[in-house]
Amino acid sequence: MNNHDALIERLCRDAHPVKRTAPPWRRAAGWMLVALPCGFLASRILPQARPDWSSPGALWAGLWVVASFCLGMLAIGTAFALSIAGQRIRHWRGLAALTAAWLLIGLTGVTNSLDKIGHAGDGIYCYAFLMVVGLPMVAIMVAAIRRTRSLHPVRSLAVAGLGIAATSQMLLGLCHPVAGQLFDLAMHLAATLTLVAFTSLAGRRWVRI
Amino acid sequence: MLRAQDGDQAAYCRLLKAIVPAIRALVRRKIYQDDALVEDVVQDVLLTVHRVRHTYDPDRPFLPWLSAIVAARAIDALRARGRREHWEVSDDEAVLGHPDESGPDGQAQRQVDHLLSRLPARQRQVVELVHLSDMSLADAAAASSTTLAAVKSLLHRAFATLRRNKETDHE
Repeated sequence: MNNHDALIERLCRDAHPVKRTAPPWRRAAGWMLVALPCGFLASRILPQARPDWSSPGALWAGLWVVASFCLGMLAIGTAFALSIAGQRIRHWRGLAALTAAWLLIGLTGVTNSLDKIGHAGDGIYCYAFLMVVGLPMVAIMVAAIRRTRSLHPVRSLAVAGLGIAATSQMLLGLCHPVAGQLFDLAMHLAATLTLVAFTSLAGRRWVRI
Repeated sequence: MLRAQDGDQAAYCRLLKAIVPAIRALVRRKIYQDDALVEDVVQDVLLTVHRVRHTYDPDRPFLPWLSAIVAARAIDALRARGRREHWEVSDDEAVLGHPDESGPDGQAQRQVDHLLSRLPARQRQVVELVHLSDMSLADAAAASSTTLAAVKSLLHRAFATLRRNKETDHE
């Protein structure tokens, strides 16, 4: 039987008062308040189009923006919850359903468009936009999760990456033509995968305990 | 835990001492027949509890929070052990071809090598840097790409393991 008293004594001497972590939903709201203005300011370095909300695909484009915001908020809240020991994904069904609905809205927007396929090279601007907006958000997210650290860093960061991608898509939807095209949507999804992978790999070192 | 979060050191001390048997029991559910590794994980859990004590929500039960930490640390330790065993190569020719060091110094060196070889890789690296290469703690932290606090903690755990292994050998 081992005696850990020396270590315990040392830890107790170092036991200063600590500030308790806020609930995940409040941390997610705080993150949105900081990350959205940062993402918006970062987006100003790229030329921006003004969407025509009176054109035929506006309904699906508007739904895409709303679904992106909801998915972003839920995924960010889940990422914060996952970073706390003993908390599980309580809304995983909701998260999966919202992700599916988000994809479905994107695909429906494409099928209702006059130019369904688009042209090779379409969506490069969208990819660049999502990267420029998403990268500052990744930094803010890693700093926020670093406050609590995470026992499962890759899991927390992957869900956070999904939230960041969705939030960036929401900002993109506000300065993007409303007509959907397949090439364009493919680049949106490629940017989502890039942000999820980048957040998981780049942040792991900083948030693991 | 609530009082510990508010900085009550005596309450925190009592809590940590009280949870050690519970942690050990939880770790033993994951790690069998390796007491040294179990005690390493117990220390690791105590350090983790200390580092993330601000994440405990007083409105929730304490045991699930602690169990999640124990499970994660035990799995990390098992993975690290698996990696060590996977990469460990037994080179019989090299062992047989090694010159016989029958003098007292050679024997002591062999004993040190033997004890060090039983340490986890990160603990062994820190002991070698600080005590065999005479590096300062800060230099060792820089050389092993970790923090000063982590080096101190690794050293503490390494010596506890060395003492334990030495006592086991004598028995």
